[in-house]
Amino acid sequence: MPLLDIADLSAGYGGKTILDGLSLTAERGDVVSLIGPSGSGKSTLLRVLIGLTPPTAGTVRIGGEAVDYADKAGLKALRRRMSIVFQQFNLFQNLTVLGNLTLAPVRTLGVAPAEAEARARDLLANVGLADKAGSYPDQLSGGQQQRVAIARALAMQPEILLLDEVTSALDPERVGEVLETIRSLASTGITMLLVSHEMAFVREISTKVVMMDEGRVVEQGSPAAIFETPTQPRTKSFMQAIIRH
Amino acid sequence: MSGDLFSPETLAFLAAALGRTLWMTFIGCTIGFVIGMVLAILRRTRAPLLAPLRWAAALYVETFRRIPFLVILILVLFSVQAFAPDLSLLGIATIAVTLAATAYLTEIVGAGLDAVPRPQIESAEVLGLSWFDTLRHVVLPQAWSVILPPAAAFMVMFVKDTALASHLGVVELAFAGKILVNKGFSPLAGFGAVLVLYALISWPLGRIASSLESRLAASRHR
Amino acid sequence: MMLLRLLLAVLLLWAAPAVARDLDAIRQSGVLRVGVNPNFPPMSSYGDGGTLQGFDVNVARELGRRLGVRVELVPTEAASRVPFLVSGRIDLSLGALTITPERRALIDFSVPLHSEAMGVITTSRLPVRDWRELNRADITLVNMRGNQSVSVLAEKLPRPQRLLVDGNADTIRAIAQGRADALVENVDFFIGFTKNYPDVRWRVLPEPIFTAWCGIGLAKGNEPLRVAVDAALSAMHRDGSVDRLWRDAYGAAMTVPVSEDQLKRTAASTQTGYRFDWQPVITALPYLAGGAVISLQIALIAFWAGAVIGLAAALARLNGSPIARRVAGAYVSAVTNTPALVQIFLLYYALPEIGVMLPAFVAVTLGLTLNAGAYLSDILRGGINSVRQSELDAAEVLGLSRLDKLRHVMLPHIVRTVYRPLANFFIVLVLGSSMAALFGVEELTGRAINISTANLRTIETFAVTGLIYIGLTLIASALLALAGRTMFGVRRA
Repeated sequence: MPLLDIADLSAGYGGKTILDGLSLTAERGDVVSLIGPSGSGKSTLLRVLIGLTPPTAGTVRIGGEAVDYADKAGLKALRRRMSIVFQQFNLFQNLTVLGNLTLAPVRTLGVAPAEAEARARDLLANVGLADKAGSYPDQLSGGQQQRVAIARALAMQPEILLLDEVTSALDPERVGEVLETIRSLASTGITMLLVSHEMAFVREISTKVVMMDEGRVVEQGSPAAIFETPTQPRTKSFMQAIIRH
Repeated sequence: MSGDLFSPETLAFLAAALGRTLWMTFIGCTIGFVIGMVLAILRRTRAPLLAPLRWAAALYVETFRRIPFLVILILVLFSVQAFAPDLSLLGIATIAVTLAATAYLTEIVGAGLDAVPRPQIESAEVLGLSWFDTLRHVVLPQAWSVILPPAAAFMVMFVKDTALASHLGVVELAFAGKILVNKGFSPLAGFGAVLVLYALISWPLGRIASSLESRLAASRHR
Repeated sequence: MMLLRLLLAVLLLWAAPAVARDLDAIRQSGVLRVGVNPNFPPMSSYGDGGTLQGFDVNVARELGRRLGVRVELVPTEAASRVPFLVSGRIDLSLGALTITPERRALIDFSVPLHSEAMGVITTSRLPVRDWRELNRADITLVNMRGNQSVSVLAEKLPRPQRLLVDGNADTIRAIAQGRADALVENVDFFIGFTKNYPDVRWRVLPEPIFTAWCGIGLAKGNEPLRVAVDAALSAMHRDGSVDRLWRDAYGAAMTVPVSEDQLKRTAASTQTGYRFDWQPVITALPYLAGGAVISLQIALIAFWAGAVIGLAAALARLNGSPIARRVAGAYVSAVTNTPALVQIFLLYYALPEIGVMLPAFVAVTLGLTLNAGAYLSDILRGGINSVRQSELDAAEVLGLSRLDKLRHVMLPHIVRTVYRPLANFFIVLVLGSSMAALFGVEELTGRAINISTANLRTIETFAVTGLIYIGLTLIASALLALAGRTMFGVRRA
């Protein structure tokens, strides 16, 4: 049974369809990369999965259990199993790095403050920011902030981690440190769903690559299959456009 | 019966009047700030059950920002008679200040809440924080630095507006000027002294308010 | 309409619990609460020690002694008398309360306490010998708001212009400063204030115009109290106490004494409590609407004149010489750190000392203009600062002329930044123009005060006045927002 099972999922705003009956699965430990032109619905899919944008049709199952997006308790349960990292980091500006990492575990998971802090310090050490625990977000570089944001998501101990173009807002020389963090994360066996424009990185790290267009899955398969022997014309033209650059 | 403007009696009289001016402003605006905070937060809830309250809060704010403070004072004077016929004129004026300040401060607090970027709230949401935790740990701490400077500036401004309470017969600073002039001081001396006293209060308070603004702007994250 | 209905509902709620205290309750508490006017020497005023003194105060104490209760004095302005009586905040109201049929509909009266002989106080400037000679359009009569004389004058002397002021002292000052030529009032009450102006040659015309009677006001239907007060007051007249107290205060006997015949004419009442009556204020709606037009005039003049001053001050602070900068900065901080009301007090009352006498409308509009100038200079300065240097650089590189730069690069930014604050400030000015009422200008609030002191329907009148202000500012806001969108591309909030 797949850990994440998305079936016929649709969503949109104001009469405009963004996701159009999309289906997708991920096994435990998978690293699934979503690629495709802008506007194809990749980021919206992540927002729907985490419950920020309501779906209009379809089902999402995690470990066989259907998620009830209309229900507060359902959303609460969902967010204990799944977490997200945003393109713009969105760290709480009023809290220190440590505060960002401990607020939710203490308030929503009921973890004891001392335990939450110990875990937060471990996570910070893992992303190479052990010395920044007392800093405020605006004292950190973009790359550092994004690594804190990843640590914050991990502090919730999710089974599934969503990463939404996490390197797009960074200076080019800061991209590497964040990719390195994700790379080491992949080796821990956590299930990840990521949207990225770093094609070399996608090819290297993914267990599965999904080509999306107009709110649907065009084609999916192993990185080698999608990058080297795509079968659909839309995937081929997308790959050619990328290679030309 | 023109006397000495700097005689101990006159100075004590002016000091007491100044005290009433500051009392009305400070008590009225402080209570107004607390209620304004509640109303501003209420207006930003989404529960359908609270819709009538949201509507009432919006009506309140629109109404009291569109009636002159002088008219509010007169209406409060007469309508309070039914509830509390023994309330002092100073108390009545303080209620009027509270009613007006609440309306304006609801808008100021609301603007501060709206200034917190939407993604900050979404982040709290995806981390599973409750509505109240989000408000307390994420929204309010960030809104604070946006709210405080204009709220402080509003209070300083209202020190001057309370001069209208002289019409009710509250012996605050402006009325004190009138009494001095009626006692035989020249209008220039009587009103001039009062004008200087207002400036002596308002100017330093205004400086404190604007230094608060630059201090808070400098330390955005705290 | 919804708003109106809601407001009415709130108002009706107010009506319910107001209860005046009956004689038993007063005797039980041992305290009689008497309302007196605190600014009415020698009837009642604050003495040097800060306690109230005068004829009314002494009458109240004597009444209390005879009723066997302690007297607590409550300072009460003219317009507050009826609401205070109805709510029981005061048990009796003193302060030259003239007995009229209109007032009898709202409150009860005791037998007369004293007479009110209407006469004329003027100066040697005005060469008249008889009050009938005052009926000329080139004469200004000063009146105190809320006094019976206002309506009597409209009837007997319709032609002169009138100046309404709020206090007894203000009437005599107005004549001394030359704002008005004469005062038609109860001479006894007002002559005392002439002592403040020993350089003016004061005159009193000999023949009174007519005589009215003043009684002690009580809440309607409070019969045992009224009977007890009537008995005590009649006894005070008969044993000469009232005459003695009057002489103490005025140094002479009452011009027309209260006769034995009048002490017998007491009137019982039937109705109790306060009943809302919206008819008087609805009848007065056209009069109030006329006042609203004057309010708008004041706001418009102050806004545009203030905008000119504000622009000059803003430019001086941004680009002026060091001296211009300091002058403009001093102007802005002097005005913004003091109340507009006290500034206007100075313009209106102090300028005559150096020979500059501004009519009330001019003084108020000038004061509000000075305020508008200071606040608008801050808004406009912010607008000019909002122009981005990067866009000016781009315009420079593209070779735009100075005029084109101003028109196509700077102005659009400035307008978009300042439009909404300017529109909000206009609303502030409309509301602020209500201050004019305190100087006798008959704009919306002034007219509301006029009406309510005559019909005593204060709550009804001011509730409607509040609604007019709400309507006025809502229309103004909507029109300004529409103009902003269509003419300047200013988006919604």
